[in-house]
Amino acid sequence: MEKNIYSVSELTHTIKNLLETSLPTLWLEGEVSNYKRHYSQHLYFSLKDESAQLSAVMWRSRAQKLPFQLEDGMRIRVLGNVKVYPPAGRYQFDVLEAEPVGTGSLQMAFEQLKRKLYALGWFDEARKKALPVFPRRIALITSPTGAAIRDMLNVLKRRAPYVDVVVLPVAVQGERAAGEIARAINLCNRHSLGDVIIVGRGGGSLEDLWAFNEEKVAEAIFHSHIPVISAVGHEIDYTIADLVADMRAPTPSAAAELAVVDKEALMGKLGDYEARLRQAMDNGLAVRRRQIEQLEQSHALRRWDDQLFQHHQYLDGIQSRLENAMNVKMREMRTGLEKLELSLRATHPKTLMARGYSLTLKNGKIISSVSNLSEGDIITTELSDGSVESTVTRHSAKRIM
Amino acid sequence: MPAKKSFEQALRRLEEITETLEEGQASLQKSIKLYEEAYSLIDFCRGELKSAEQKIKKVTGKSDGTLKEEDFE
Repeated sequence: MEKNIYSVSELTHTIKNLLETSLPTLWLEGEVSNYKRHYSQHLYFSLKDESAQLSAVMWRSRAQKLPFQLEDGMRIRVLGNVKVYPPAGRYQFDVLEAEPVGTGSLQMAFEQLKRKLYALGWFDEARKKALPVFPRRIALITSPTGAAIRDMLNVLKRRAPYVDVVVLPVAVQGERAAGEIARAINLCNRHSLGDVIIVGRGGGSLEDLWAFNEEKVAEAIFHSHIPVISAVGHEIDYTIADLVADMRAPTPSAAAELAVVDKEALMGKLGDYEARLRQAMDNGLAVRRRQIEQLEQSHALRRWDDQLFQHHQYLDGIQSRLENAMNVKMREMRTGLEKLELSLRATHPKTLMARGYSLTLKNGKIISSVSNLSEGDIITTELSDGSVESTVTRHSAKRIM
Repeated sequence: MPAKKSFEQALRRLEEITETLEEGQASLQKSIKLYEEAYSLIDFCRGELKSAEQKIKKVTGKSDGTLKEEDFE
């Protein structure tokens, strides 16, 4: 009997056929170990339990749909097939889907991203931007047809008709949602489309809200220069977007209320300013009025008044003293003058003539010396009551008196 | 479509003036000047709040990086 000899390939292919056809697509549970993400984005790992282990691979096309990250030590359930790889003589589990044990995939993904971003410091309150006190333009990133946009526009119209609104329509669920939301946030920043951004949607299931838990949305919010308010419906506690956003609102309408100052409140504030200003001005004027009154009644001013009066009196006194002094002086001078006049009068020729003196003239000139006379000169002698003409007969230097 | 900013500045200035006047340290002449300024700011703000009519635009980014802007219906 001839020996039936298999080649390695034949046997391997027989094994491959046996295994791959007899084992249906099945769910397998185990613990992940030796997890590696290849640069080609294929995932390689082992699944093990207490006494056995099995190589597993998740190809890129499948891995991209996996919302959470595999980690060593994680218990997971995988759906797939046993596949034999002839070139290496190995069999491995070809994973189509994977889910964590004990929690949902999305929940796991949420927890993982939250942990990662927390470690990066993206949730730190310290790095969150303050909302503008008085925004003039609000950017709304949401579905253009949902209830959320209507709610927000209603609130903005009622509370703040003075703000302008820019709507950036995006899908808020489904595969394209996260990309569109992230792009809209970036667009707002690039073109300065608002003073504050509200990004949100109405409530829904964890799956519906999933876009707001994706890393690209978190990234866009984190890098936004414009403050971002997240407003995702209240089905679950928080989304990643809520945690990264500068402000979290429980609903879209609440976000709109947070973003703007109520018109009536502003009017009230202006009224307050007006009252405070008037009060401050009244106070200022009252204080000054009081100061003036106090000054008027002050000792200093009154004493000053007195002093002024005293100065006046002093001046008056000086003036009368001066006048008196002048009068005395004048009187003295007048007396002096009178004396002078008297003595002058006493020496007047007429006075002298009355006393017997006479004046001798020759040719109208007063003669005061005999040397000016010659014999035969005709002279006139003025006396007190008339004159006489005489002819000089003799003259001598000898005086009679 | 430039963002309107001056209202916020006006409010800030208003707060500043009110505080200065409340402190009561400014001279009378200066106080009167500030008071007049404050009143014109209040008038301006009231005018802004009354006259402003909300504009709602829908904006989408085009592939060439520019914006497409239309009225939001």
